[in-house]
Amino acid sequence: MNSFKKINALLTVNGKSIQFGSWDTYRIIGDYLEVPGGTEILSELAHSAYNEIRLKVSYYNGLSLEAIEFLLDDPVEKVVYETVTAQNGERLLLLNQQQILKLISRSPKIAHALARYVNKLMENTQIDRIEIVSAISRHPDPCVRHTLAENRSTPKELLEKLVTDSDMDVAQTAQNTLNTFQSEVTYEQL
Amino acid sequence: MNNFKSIDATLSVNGKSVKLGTQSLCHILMSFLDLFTDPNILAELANAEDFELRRCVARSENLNAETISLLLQDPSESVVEYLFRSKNATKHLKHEEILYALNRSAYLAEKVANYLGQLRKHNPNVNIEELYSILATHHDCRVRSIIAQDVTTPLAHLQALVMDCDADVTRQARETVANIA
Repeated sequence: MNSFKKINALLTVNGKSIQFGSWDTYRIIGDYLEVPGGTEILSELAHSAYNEIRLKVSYYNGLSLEAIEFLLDDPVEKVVYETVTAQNGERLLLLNQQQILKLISRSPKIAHALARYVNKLMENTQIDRIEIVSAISRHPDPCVRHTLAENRSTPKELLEKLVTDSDMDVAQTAQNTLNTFQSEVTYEQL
Repeated sequence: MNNFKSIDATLSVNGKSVKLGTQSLCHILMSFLDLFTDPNILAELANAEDFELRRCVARSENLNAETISLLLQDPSESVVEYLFRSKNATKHLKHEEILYALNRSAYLAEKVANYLGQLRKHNPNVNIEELYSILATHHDCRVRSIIAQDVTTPLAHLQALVMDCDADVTRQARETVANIA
């Protein structure tokens, strides 16, 4: 379980300071934190007890790996979702096998996001990619499997398994995706 | 002559700090001016080298009389214009300061003409009759036009503007007189 911190934010102008409470801290978070020195501040804010601050921080570039890992464990699903999907799923390249497996079982919404970003998962060299995508393909929610079935980055062998899915839409979609590969091969042969 | 200062601004969270450049500070000021309630910080920012910072500060409702007077002398007319947008500033301006502003340029005279209603309502120190007299006879027809359209302009000035050399001002004054009647 994440342990959150009290945030003490100060703006100082020529030695004179204004102290901000949680709400005002949330309001002033801005792009100007996406600078080298801003990473440490973003990390502190990622640990805030105020969930709106964590949510806002989750979008930012320049989050440290420690902050990303912390946010992935967030009790608020939306924070986890935004942390995973920010920067078009680029952060998935930083995660290990255990972290991604945990995300798959976190919630259908998160698993769905992972199914959308299979392309990123397939680029991640520190994980067993087939095992990960296979775990998504076994998700109990057909919506997650459907997204995987229509994703052209899903490995062919897994699409072939999804063709026999218990949900007929998932099965049909997987077949359609496979067919597009087939027709491309035929076109290239021509 | 104003002596501007460079601004050293930092944002710190739990002891970790980041320096804020002028643009970042300007963005924070522009978006969250309500957070800046301390007149001392506003006074520092009113002396900033960057005119955008001074302009942001001029909109504040938390300026003290000294900062208001300082900003009124600002070399940038847009800073002075923003000052007239603040209820608090219009409350504290002295009559001589308003005369100084409207004599600086036609642009500022136009702004004063636009805010006469606010000045009349909030600032008992202003000789509003004198301001109407000056503005109704201003050399710039845009200034006279604002006065000609103002239903709170004293009737004597409106009647004089009916005879104005500018046809638009004449028409506007005539319409305003008709509306009052």
